[in-house]
Amino acid sequence: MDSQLKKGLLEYSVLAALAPADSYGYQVIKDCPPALGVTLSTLYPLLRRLESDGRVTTFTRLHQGRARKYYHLTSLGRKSIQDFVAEWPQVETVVEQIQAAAQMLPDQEAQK
Amino acid sequence: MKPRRLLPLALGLIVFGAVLAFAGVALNHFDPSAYANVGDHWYTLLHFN
Amino acid sequence: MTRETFLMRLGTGLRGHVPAGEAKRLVAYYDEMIQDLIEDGSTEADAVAQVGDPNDLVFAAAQSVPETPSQPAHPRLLLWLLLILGAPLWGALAVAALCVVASLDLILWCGPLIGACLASGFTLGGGLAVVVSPFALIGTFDYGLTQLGAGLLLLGAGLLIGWATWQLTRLCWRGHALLFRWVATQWQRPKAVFA
Repeated sequence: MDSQLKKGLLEYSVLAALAPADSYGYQVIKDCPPALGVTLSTLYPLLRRLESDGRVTTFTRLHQGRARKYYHLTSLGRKSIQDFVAEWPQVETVVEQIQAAAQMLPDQEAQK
Repeated sequence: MKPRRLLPLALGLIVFGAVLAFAGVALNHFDPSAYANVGDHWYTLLHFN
Repeated sequence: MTRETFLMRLGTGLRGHVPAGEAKRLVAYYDEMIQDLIEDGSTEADAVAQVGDPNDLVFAAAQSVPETPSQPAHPRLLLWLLLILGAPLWGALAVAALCVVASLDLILWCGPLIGACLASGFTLGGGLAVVVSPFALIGTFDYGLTQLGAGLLLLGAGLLIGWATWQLTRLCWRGHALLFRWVATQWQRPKAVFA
């Protein structure tokens, strides 16, 4: 997938991973689709940004004798997901335009 | 005068002065005690001649 | 690489590149990741390898330091109040520092002063001896000759010292300029606050 496209989808995918229940970093990586290619080092700045945006809050919980940082989706985060989904039809119109153009491409090649 | 020209002049004066002073002492047969009377000499020269 | 080594390298690498709080967060984040990977079945070495090279992580972190919420600006009045209240302390320190600088400058100029005194003394004394020597030459030739020679020698020495003093003065002037430029830059440099 195109890296710019990934960048745009990544934060919503992470928010979606937190939607069913509060989760921690490693679990978020496992829950995100592999196609997005979330890595440990890409996740950190993302979570940091979501936290400073107020879309996510953090809390620490003990797990097997060690502290683990959990991420919780705020109402702002939930709204962010809904907004993204609401905007999707618009994205689809763009995709349709691109698809239509892609179907015409072989004809142009043949005309040359 | 430029400071750069001062250096050879100073060194020349030192060497020339040393030679003259040496000649003076040599004429005096290297006798330091002779200079002890110089003060007296000047005194008599100025006051009694 | 063990987890300990990795975390130590990461922590040391981050120092100075990102704020201390941010470095702490990053180390905690990667520590948690490594432990989760181990819990998930990886060996320690494997888990550390999956996380990546600490140097790369440091580089990435230094590139994208998340903006920290800016602290509310210090009230100006409070700063001025502190400045005035602290005057007996910083004033004394400032005066002491100025005195040190002034004495350094004084020491610096002692060289040229001594040189100038020696040069003028030698030149005047030698010159006088030369000027008066004809009388001595008339009186007693060999005394006069010695005086003339000694006078010329002293005159030469005076000029030589004068020349050396001139060179020294130029050096001192440069040192003086350097010293005061350094003092001036101290003003502009942001100060670390030890508290």
